Amino acid sequence: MTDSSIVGLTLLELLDAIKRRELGAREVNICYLQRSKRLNPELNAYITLGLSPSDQDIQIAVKDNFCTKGIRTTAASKVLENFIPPYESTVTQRLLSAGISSLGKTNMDAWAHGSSTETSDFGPSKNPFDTTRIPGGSSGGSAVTVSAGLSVAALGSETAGSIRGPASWCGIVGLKPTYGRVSRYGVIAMGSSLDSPGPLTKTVDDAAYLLSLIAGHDPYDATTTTAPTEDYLAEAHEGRKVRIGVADIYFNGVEPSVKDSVEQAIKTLEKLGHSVHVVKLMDPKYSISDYTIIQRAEVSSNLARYDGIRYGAGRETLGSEAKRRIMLGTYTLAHGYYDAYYKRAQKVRTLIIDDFKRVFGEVDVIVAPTMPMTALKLGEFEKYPFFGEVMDVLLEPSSMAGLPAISVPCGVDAQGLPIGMQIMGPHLSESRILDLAYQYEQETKSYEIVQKNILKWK
Amino acid sequence: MSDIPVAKIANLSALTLSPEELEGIQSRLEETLSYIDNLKEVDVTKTPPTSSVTGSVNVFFEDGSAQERTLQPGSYKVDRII
Repeated sequence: MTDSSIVGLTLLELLDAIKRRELGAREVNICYLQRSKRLNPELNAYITLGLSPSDQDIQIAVKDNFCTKGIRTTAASKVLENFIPPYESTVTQRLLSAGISSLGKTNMDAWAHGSSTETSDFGPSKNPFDTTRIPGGSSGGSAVTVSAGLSVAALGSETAGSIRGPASWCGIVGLKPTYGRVSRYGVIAMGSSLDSPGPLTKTVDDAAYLLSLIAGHDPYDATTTTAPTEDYLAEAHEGRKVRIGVADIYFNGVEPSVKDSVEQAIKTLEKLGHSVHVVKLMDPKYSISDYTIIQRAEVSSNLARYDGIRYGAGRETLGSEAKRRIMLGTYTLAHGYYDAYYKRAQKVRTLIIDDFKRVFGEVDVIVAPTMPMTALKLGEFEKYPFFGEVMDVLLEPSSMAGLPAISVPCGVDAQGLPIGMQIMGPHLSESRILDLAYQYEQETKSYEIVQKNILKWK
Repeated sequence: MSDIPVAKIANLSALTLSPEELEGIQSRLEETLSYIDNLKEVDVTKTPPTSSVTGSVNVFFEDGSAQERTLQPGSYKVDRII
């Protein structure tokens, strides 16, 4: 099979072709490895690229905050530039057990501190739809690999926007599972009450499949839920008709092309038999503040372990963004400020959680734009005081509440830049949101956006 | 707002910052803090703080359970620090 036909296949199609012996794992891996070697200098999607193609496993891109035993893991920081994990994260271990290994470790915002992949100590990644623009972040490298056909699928993680954001800006599917649905053991921690590993893929089915492999209780992560997992791939094809909630406040300040595209998508969903209801949700601007405090507080605590003694370089090697976040976090946790900031933020968090609970009593899912605008140019983030948090305004509320959400491509703007629509659901409703996403995707063939883009990359 | 004790916070954070870095961070912190001040608009007088997003409580495991994923070093080689 030619390279261009291999990169046109989804993960499930590849697995099927391999099972039917139309393709061999080795030739698939060689194809992706060669493409990655050839195109990575321009896109900078990978920090570490694999050396040899596997004969048995399908290889996919893995965000560089997953500890992969024996394979350098850096979290895109010079502190861990030479760090080789002595153990495997639960998520990558589960994939290995299912015959999926790592093709390479992808670029990200250093320590996942950002929404642009520009804070990486290894340079920014470029958006495959327009290389003068950023792919989003922090799972930017992962999104780029899928979006340019450097990997059939990728692993990412989201604290508040880091899967959905880059998925939206790179024209692909990004699934953020319920907090606690997927184990964080072996994932370099950013915000421990928020971090959620998840897949970035070309199609909803691929995301459902990967979720089914990685989801589930893990005794090594006490925050994982004991709730049973579901057959997500089968559930995505149930064809449920749902009540869709739309909140005007999630369209405030959104670019007209994004607004139009998402509104059009909602009309399509209505045509498919779902009902649309206006709901009232808390202003997401409070989530920016709430998230900033809680995340930075948890960051200051999580990054305290990098003492440069047991492993890694010293703390003077930390980048300026990391230092800034640590400082704010320490401040909000310090004696005398804790009540005014961190404790108050945890109370506001309760309000955000209750707000969603109330709305999910009225509707089954909430649909909104993923990002308020399409991909920004490199360097534009300097305009914003805390770019990461401000850009992810529409994503932070659901992240604060630990809810699952999926971003699916729903169009492109006048410059051909992808637009994403997100579907949020209550706790542990991955089946429901995957189902709705699948119905939308099949009706509109939205995966063609990324398929066409991949063919541009030779 | 300009009474953020940046030097003290840097010390608590185990970060060694140059005077220029300290000054730069001071203004950034002030910027951030003035934005997040909008949380004061939210009434939380009767709201309990969230301790767990998933509502999980008292997650225990048996001591001495299978340790197959513990690191098994013979010994570690580290840089001399004292």
